[in-house]
Amino acid sequence: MTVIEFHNVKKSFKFNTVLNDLNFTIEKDVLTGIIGRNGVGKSTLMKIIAGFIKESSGDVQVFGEHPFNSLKVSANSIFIDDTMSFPEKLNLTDILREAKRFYSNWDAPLAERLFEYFSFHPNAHYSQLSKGKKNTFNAIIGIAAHCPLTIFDEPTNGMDTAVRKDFYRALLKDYLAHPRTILLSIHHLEEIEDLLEDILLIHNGTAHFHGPITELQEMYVKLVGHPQHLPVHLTNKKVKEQKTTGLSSEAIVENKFSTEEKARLTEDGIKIIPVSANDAYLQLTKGTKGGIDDVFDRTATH
Amino acid sequence: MLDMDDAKPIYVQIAEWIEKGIIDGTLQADEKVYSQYQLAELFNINPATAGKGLTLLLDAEIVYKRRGLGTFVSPNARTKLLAKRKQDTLQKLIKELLNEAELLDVDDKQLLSMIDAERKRRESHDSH
Amino acid sequence: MYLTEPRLIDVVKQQFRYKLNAYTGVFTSLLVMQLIGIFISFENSSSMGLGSLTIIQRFSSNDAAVGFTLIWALSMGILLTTIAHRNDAFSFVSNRMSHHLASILFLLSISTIGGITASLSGSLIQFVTMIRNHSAIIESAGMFDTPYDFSIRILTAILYTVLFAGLGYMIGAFIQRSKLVIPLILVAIFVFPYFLLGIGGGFLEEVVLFYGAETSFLLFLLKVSCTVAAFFIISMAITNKMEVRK
Repeated sequence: MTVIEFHNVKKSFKFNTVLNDLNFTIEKDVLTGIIGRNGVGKSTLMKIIAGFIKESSGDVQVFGEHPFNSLKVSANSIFIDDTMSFPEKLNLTDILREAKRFYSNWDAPLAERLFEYFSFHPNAHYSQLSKGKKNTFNAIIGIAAHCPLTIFDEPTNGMDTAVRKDFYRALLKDYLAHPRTILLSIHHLEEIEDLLEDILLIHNGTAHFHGPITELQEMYVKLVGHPQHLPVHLTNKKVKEQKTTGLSSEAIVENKFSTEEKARLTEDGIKIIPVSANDAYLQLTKGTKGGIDDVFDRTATH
Repeated sequence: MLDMDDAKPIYVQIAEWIEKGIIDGTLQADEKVYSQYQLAELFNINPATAGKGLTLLLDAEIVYKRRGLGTFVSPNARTKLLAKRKQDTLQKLIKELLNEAELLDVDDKQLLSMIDAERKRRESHDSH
Repeated sequence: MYLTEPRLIDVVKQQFRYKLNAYTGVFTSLLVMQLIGIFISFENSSSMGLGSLTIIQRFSSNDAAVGFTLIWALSMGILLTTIAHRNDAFSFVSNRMSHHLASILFLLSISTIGGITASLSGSLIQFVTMIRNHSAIIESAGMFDTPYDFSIRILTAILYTVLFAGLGYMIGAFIQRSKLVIPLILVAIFVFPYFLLGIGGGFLEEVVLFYGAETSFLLFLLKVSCTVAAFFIISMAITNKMEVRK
């Protein structure tokens, strides 16, 4: 069953167009990572799904309804990010009690256990919490709500490493016990690679890649070998990155090798090493402006 | 258990982990294998990815499925895996050995005598 | 996971309860405003001297308390439309319609309490004045001697409070649409009436008379209800495309 559908969706703000002709569908109970460089429109995309903001043109369907102003979408989804805000008057326990009234699948015992595990004080107030603690509290709400569509936009900002790990583990365990459609946007893809089933990569306003994370990972390989042997194998190949240090040369290349080509690589003592999904993502979104080194090289020549 | 920093795709590592269990006898023929959800929980990975690891083994007929009951080790899984290892791992090591020998100008005769020497060293080591 | 099919009325109820739990602070500000109003009321007195005879006339009315309650209602209306309040609501289940309805319900409820307490503050003032001066002519309806007039007085106070709360809500909605509205409103409040009054009588006076000079309670009720309904409908219409949690 399809949960989210985007057809030719555009979204422009006053001074810039963020999403441009965006097309994709997300199936039920898939845990998808939304990735892309800063300012690429990940949050915009997810806020359109949640019904907070409205697309400029195109067609958006969530649970078969247009999300903007849909009560059904709101009642069956939760959106966790930095803009979560709660009334000053309520303490943390009050907030959890309010949340329970709003979400029919709310798992109160789980919320309580997580609340205790992350050592929150029941009478504390949200505004007094640090950024990391706020996001931890938000994450508890996001997990315990058990919404059929759960959206996390940069949920781990400000959390320390231990808490981030705990959050990923908690999310996975709860997802295994209560499968649901989850969208997760995060800067540190390397931290959650194994958690994700699919990747939706937003680049230049479009869905640059959408599919299983293993597929993204297998788009590129790293070749490592002797500087004399390697270049021969790189002709007619899309080389994304290349460097030589002493007697070893390596290149990140598009993973399009026939069985014979692979055999010849091994014969020449060249190792074929898979890259991580994060590396593949970085290669896929590399700008035409080269790397940061080029910035300095250019100024040096002037 | 698994090396998360290994660049190998995680589902390949999952498959290899189960294969290792079959080879060293932890998993016997017709014994039930972990479900994709158990694997996901165990290795902190997405169940779909864990499922892919199982699919690799299913396709290679290392394991078989019984509807509603789960996934089980094929009766001839161990024999198959040993043969595969001979084919893949040993072959690969031989290739690397030859490459290295070529690089160091070691001819076949020398190489064979080195293998012989190593074997003798081991035998004497074992007898002591 | 099963999808829930929410009903608008249920979500409005949830949001309304949420506001009642969360914004109890509005009653504290109401209390403070009315106390200031009551305090000011006691200070009204005038004396007339006719030769050797001096008549001291003391006016005690709850006009100030009512006035402050209306200012309070206006600001509550504006407050409910602010981004902070909207984000609070949209942290949980809500759409724009349920958000407006819950806010309106909340405004009507607190306005009712504001109106009642403003009226009762009049009784308090009368009581205190009576004790202070030992004798006084009470020129207004009491709860026991004229219950009908008394309840009309309370209802009227409530309606005025609702009117101002509704006005505040609409002003707030306009401000949310565009910050440029703020100077316009200031002009409308301070400069425009002055200008209009300058050229004789004018618009504002007519507006005041339209509500204030109405002698039939039913007609007054009708006028206020229609006006407030218009305020709310306009507010809903101009913010129905409003993007939240940006």
